[in-house]
Amino acid sequence: MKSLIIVFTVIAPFLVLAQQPKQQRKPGSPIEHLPKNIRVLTHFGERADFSPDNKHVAFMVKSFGDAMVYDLETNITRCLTCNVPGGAFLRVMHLVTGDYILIGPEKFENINISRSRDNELWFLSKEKGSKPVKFGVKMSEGMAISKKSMKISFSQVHAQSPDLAEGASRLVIADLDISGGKPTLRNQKTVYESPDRSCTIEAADFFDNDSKMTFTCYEPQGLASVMTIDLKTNVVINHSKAPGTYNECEGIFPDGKYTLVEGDRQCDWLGGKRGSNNIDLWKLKLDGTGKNFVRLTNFNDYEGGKASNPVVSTDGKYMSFQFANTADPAGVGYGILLYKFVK
Amino acid sequence: MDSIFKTFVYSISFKSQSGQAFLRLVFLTLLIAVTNLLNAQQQIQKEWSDTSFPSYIKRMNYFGERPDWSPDGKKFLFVARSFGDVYEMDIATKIVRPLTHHYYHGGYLRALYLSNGDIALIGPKSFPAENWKEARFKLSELWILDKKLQSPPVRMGEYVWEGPAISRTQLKIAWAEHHGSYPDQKRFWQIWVADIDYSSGIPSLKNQRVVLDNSSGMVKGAVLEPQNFRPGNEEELTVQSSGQGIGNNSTEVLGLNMKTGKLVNYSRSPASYNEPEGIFPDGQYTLVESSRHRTMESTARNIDLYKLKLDSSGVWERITLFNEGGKFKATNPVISNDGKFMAFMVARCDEMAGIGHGIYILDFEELEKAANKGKVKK
Repeated sequence: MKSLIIVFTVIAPFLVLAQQPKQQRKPGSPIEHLPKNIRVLTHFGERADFSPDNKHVAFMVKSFGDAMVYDLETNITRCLTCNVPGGAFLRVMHLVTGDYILIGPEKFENINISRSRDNELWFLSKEKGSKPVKFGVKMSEGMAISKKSMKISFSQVHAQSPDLAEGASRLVIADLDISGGKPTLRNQKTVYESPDRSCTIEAADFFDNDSKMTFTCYEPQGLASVMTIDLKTNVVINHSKAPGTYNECEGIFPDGKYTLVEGDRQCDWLGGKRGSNNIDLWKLKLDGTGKNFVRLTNFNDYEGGKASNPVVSTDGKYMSFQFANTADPAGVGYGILLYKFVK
Repeated sequence: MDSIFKTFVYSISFKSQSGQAFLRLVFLTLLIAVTNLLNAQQQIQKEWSDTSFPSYIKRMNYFGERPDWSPDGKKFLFVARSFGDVYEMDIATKIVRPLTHHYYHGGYLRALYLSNGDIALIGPKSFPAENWKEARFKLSELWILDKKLQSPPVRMGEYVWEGPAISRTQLKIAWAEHHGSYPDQKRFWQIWVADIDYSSGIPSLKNQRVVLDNSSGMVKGAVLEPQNFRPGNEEELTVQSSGQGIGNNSTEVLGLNMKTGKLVNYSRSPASYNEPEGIFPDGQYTLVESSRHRTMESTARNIDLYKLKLDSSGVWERITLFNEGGKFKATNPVISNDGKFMAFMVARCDEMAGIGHGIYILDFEELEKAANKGKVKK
């Protein structure tokens, strides 16, 4: 018995140490410790999106706010929706034509209803002074927009489409037609459905000449996986292959071989709750193995810091993303940054 | 007479020498006229616009309206748009930071620094998407936002018609109210003054009192809006009076002695629009949005920025020339506390009052240098 006590006394500290994270998060702000290849574009804003010519970055000033566009050559920021009284948008994205897609409710009611039930799709012409025009389509969260054609994709859940059962979701693709006076969606088609909350779908990006798509499966316990679907064969592949972790699909690289991911894998050594709060930006090879996973940012090394919502320029040279806080809901940002891949 | 006519007709015949000479003369005259017209057009194109103006003016950004200087003159506040968020720009770095992103609100029309660094906000509690005019002219209220930006602003419980006047030295505010905001009470256009009290730890208004109403006297029937407490004599308030009353349907710059109730008409320009704006720190001059350079359509649509001496002498000095071409107007100017700089905005003439597309700063020292070199057109 005595020898057992001695053994336990000697081993116990090592057992405790083994259970603790190998590193601690640092105090301070990641913005004050940026590597040389990251530049701060704005000190406010969220959800960046590159223009097709990579000369501009569109972004939202806040959730339920205005859309703006930053000129990377002149550093000038212009407002795209300041002529819309009461405008309360959540996302802005470029179409291949240089026009914009806006996502958000017609008016702000409250955070939940305005972000889910009332979330809808708008077209905003690139012509100065244009006002957003509704498509009349409700959708869940964000969408995929082709960089090569007018193809788009979005998901719907019960809140936007009551014909879906509670917990079910669907992935829809469509062609956007802006040739007439009123922008419309044509050839709408459901390409994938999930019957329950084991996978709540959100569209991410098109790749391989719009023949494939990335999307995220949000899973129970606040986790998520990176998925692809072949739009010809409907074959779906889980590329993150890391059950128990959070992997949200973000901007895709122009060669279609890699995608950016909001991942929580640094929690393996930093600790903290798994899920969308403790995230940093990772690059994942879309080879179906889940093994080629490279960390790009270290914002979550700092207490309360995270990097989120990254997109890649169409030439693959830059990533734009946002500085965010782990205490905030997903999507909230405090400034747009530019990451240069070629050092 | 008949022979003269015949000679004239003959002279313009193509065959005669004198006729060819006459045609040359006509051609030359037309050429000169066309050249003059083109020159005039080029001149108009050289007029000031939102993108073309003298070097003593700098454009600070490309969105935003209604600037207000920080007490130290190092920053300015602005609203991104009507019913938008409030931002602050650091002038040295041009870094823009949001001040109202940390809570949900109905959007703001105006933001002004209080003397303690907190911020007075004007805007509706929630925005009625169907009727922006109701939001601007009936539902806009006064809020005070703590400069620490850790909580939403405190609602002061007062509707405000258009903009308030904020003292730069005391916790004192003046604002206008009108019947539309209080339909169950018999209110005309009234100007109120109050102290901002922090004794409970939360700001509130106290000593509210009406200092001017439009039910009688010189301003009977006029639309009233306070502009500034006069530096050096904060018992006097500069006031805009529009429509009936003083000025006979024009807009005039008034001074109101809040102790005696005496009104002085400083602008005395009954045929034009003259709205007092930012006041100079010595209290001797005020900026005015004025259409006095126009003989036709001399209204709020065609305004430029002027400096008016507040002594009833009628000494005016034009500062900007954005309205010369009739396409743009300069509006909403404010003066830094050191009197060296003016922040303002530029809009198209057909845009609603208060709409802006970025903040501009005019450097008075640079303006003076340009004037000394004869490079300033007045």
